[in-house]
Amino acid sequence: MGKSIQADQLSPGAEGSVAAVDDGTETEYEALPGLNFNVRDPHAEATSGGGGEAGELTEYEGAVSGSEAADDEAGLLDAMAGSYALGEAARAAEVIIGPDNRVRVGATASYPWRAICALRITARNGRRFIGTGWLVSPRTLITAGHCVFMHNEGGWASAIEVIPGLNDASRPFGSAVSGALRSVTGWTQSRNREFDYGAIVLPANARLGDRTGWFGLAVRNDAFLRSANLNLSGYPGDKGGNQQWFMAQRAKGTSARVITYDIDTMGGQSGSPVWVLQNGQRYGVGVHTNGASSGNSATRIDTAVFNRMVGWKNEGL
Amino acid sequence: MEVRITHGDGRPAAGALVSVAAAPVDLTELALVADDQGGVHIPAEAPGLYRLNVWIDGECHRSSHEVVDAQQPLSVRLTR
Repeated sequence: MGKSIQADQLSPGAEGSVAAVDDGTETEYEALPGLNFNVRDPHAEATSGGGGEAGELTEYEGAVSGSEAADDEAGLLDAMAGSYALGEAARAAEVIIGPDNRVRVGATASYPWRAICALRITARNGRRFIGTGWLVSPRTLITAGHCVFMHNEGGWASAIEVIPGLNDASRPFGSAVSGALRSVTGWTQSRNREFDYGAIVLPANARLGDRTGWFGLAVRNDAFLRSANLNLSGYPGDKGGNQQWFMAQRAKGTSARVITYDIDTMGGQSGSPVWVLQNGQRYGVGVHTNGASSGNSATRIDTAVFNRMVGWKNEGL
Repeated sequence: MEVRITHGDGRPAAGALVSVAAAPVDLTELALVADDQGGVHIPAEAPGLYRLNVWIDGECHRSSHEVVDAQQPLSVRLTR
């Protein structure tokens, strides 16, 4: 596929605009070369606390405030979709499917790439990992549930360093460390792949998103997702974990809670945004989580996921 | 499955970044950082083909392993 370079910056005035409908499936590629399912509400929030054991940190929360849920067919958008630019614009599980079509992102200080963050994760047991996250508000990142809560590693991560736009040794927006982590019980308790999503809330004095901008969130129906151009960018380990790599392609399939695709990915890209570019706005529609021969996959942002994410987003305003 | 990574001279490849390119099971896509002993834990216990990418010192080493018993530690020695 052709991935021509194109400067497609958004004007600050575009912030908060809402794509009117979901029917226009005109999307663009970004321009760049199991277990216990018996949970009452798998989308109930689970949060990390200031410390302690994972089990005692998990709690339920009531109704989520935020944007009202809309019918999936009509599409659901985050009314505060903050896509803007500041002052400018199983069998063998193959995760590289066919030729490796990933393209390195050079201009990571430009939007939207700067809203994508390398994650340096320290698990509760001290083991270290690399993942990816993406800003959805000044202090909130969305990522995979398994980036914040690791069942085999002691539960909630003890700390995660967030580095927007990391580009080799360059950290154009600095970094911040947080232990304020969010997920849902469908992941933390049931370990259900369909609920593998979470969030990181940065400290009050670490408003990284004020400088980087952020992604909007959207719920899209099957027809839209199957015809849309899906973009994915993150920090793969086979490239050292310090470089951002991008690829875009149409979806291979959708289910109620999962999007599958043949977009090339690798360990380190867990938590990456799967987004659509529509009417000049970037909307996250999925969270990349898994690699498999049958297709790499993302947790789909459905209405319940959207509502939960908006709640987390509002924590970081 | 426990994996132990060493340099060609036998030193532990501490800090190596390991990503799984192929496994007999569907895996999440975290990259794993080797500890001081060059050890990482891959959350899979199934026998079969595992392909690993190991990034260290600016290079990516690729290896393939037909694992019969994933309960046994896997040793990976990096060579040029």
